[in-house]
Amino acid sequence: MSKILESRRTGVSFVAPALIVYTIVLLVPTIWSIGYSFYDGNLLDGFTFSGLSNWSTLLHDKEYWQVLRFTLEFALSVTVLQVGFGLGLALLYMFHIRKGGALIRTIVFFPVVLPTVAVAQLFKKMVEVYPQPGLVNALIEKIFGEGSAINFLASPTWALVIMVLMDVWRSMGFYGVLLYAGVVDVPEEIVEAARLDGASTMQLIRRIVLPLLKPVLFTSILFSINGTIKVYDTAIALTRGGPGISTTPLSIEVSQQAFNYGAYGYGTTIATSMAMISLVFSALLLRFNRKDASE
Amino acid sequence: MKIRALTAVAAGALLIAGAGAAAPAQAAAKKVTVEFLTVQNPTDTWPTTLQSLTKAYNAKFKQNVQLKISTYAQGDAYNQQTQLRASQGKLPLLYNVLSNQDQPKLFKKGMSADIVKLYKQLGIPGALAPAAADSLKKQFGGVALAVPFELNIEGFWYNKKMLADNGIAVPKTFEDLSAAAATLKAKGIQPFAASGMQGWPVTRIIGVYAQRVYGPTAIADAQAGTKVTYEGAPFVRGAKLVADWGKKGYFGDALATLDYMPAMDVFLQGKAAFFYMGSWALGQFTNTDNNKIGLDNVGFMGAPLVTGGKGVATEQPINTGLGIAVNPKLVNADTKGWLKYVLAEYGNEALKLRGQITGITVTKSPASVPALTVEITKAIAKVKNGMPWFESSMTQKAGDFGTHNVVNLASGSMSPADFLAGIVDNNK
Repeated sequence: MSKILESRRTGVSFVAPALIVYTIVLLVPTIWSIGYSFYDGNLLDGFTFSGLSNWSTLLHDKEYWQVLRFTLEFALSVTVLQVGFGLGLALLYMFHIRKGGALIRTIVFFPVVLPTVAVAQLFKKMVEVYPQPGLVNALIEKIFGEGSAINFLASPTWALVIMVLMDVWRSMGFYGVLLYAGVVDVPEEIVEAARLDGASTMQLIRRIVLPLLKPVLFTSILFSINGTIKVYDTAIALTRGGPGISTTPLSIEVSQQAFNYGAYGYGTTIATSMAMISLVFSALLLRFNRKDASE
Repeated sequence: MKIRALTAVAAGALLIAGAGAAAPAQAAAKKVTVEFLTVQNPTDTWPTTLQSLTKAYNAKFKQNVQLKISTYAQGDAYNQQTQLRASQGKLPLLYNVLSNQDQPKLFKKGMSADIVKLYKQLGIPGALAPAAADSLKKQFGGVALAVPFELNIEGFWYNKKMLADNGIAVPKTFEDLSAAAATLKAKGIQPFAASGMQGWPVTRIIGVYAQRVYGPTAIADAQAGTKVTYEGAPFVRGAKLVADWGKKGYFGDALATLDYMPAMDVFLQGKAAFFYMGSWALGQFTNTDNNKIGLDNVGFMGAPLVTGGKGVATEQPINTGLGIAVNPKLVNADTKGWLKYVLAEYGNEALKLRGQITGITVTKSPASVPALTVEITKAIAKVKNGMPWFESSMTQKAGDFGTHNVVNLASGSMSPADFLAGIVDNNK
């Protein structure tokens, strides 16, 4: 049996079907897309080779840099908060919530399964100004008087804050469960030994749990940053990219350029730049993780 | 045994006779499927009217045409689907037009019929309203490429009671309108309802103002860039007007976050005095579930003039909404009869079912038509020169820049100069 499983042919035959599907569905379209970035045109006009002109346009396009800045601000804010809160939840489950832990984890996880559009409607209603003040503005008016309501989604800064809060609320339960799986793997004996040595909870977390949790933490950060760079549904459902283009992420810009402006080449150029940004973050994180492991 | 055999033979003969009798009826009712690719849902006006007409056609001519409605959300989704189908040569018989720049490309590829010629070929040239044909030719650079399932006039609607209660006469000029807004605002009444989220209900005010200053060719000339540009004085004045109204709070506090229907609700619930919109909204105005101020309380003043400007009252913003293109490659023996019936009768049916005014001649008026619909029909008939909307000739990118950033113009975070410069920059 071990001879069969160790043979190369067996390995290839197990991996081949998934690899073929992966190649056809993911790799080929990705490479094809990168190829499109060197062309101009669309389905109606056809395509003509344009060399590096789309890339040159990208470097000089003020709108692209504005949209990129917003995407990075959003991705980094959401990653820090959702992984941070997820870690906090995992540690809470581990050290403080014993009874009813499973029920609490389920309740906190629930927003993860809600459709983005439904959550966006919820948040929109909460921060509404018209036709009547939502929950948040009702509280503001109660404290500060009538007329003090804030039109949160009309302000670029506040709209970003609401988007970040919405995504964090939706996803922190997922990271809580993911990191909890890592926390639970920390050997009980080491924790007990540390407690016997007089370590406080904070010392336990800092000196034992976090170092042992690093691989899972790293995976969570990688997952989060790659997911949030591609944000689309949150922006569309909550703000439609407005006011102006202040909450337009790169994914919406790709769609606009390709399908509304008929610039398939430029749209795929922006999409390729998104992939490159994800790669850079992934490479940096991998490097940091490897350096850390060797130390 | 003999009786059984005879019974079997008789039954068999009856079956054969029945099949023979059925065969001619089945051949006459050959099933023909016609597809309508659209941004409207099956219960909206165009699909509902077409389904009703299809049913009537089948009953009258003993045919079996089945209408299939394929709906995609307006914007990316619809554009993507239509472009894909066009590249595959699989556009259906009826479909909503693409942009003013892209639809002529489909005409050159033989996938979008010249509607004026089509009506002549079908033998119903009189069914297409001349005003609609004229508007469509202007929209698509000289060839009418869409069937006008709507014929709309745009302008300011007003709450009659609100104006009467506050001693305001119906404004004739933009100066009168600004003064009226100031009076209303001083009394704590929101002057204008508008959707900043859509953007175009506000940018169209800029376009109308510029055309009242310069004349009805302002948009065409600005697009050509020879006698005037989008950064020229008429447009600067229009942008400054919107910025001024925004600064004075005339659009209310929620402009940036109000979508199309909520903005209409602001007007129809009596929370604002004026509302810039097209007459396609009649369907909402005549709906008592939505209209809380009453149909009799809704007035239409059209597009005001500008004192000292070149515009005249017989020039008004006219458009045919999002038109419906016909794919000439699918006009054949199976579909011609249905198409002729639908293109001739659409005006009658839309008015009867939804009170919709269209660019297709009405030959049978319904028993009762709301007074407001009659008023609008008369207003359209008085128009001698239709004015296009602000974004009508621009590139999609320039139009999007305008509609996305007009809330910034109204809030003061973008100057009129920057707003118009952005439009010019993106209009290449």
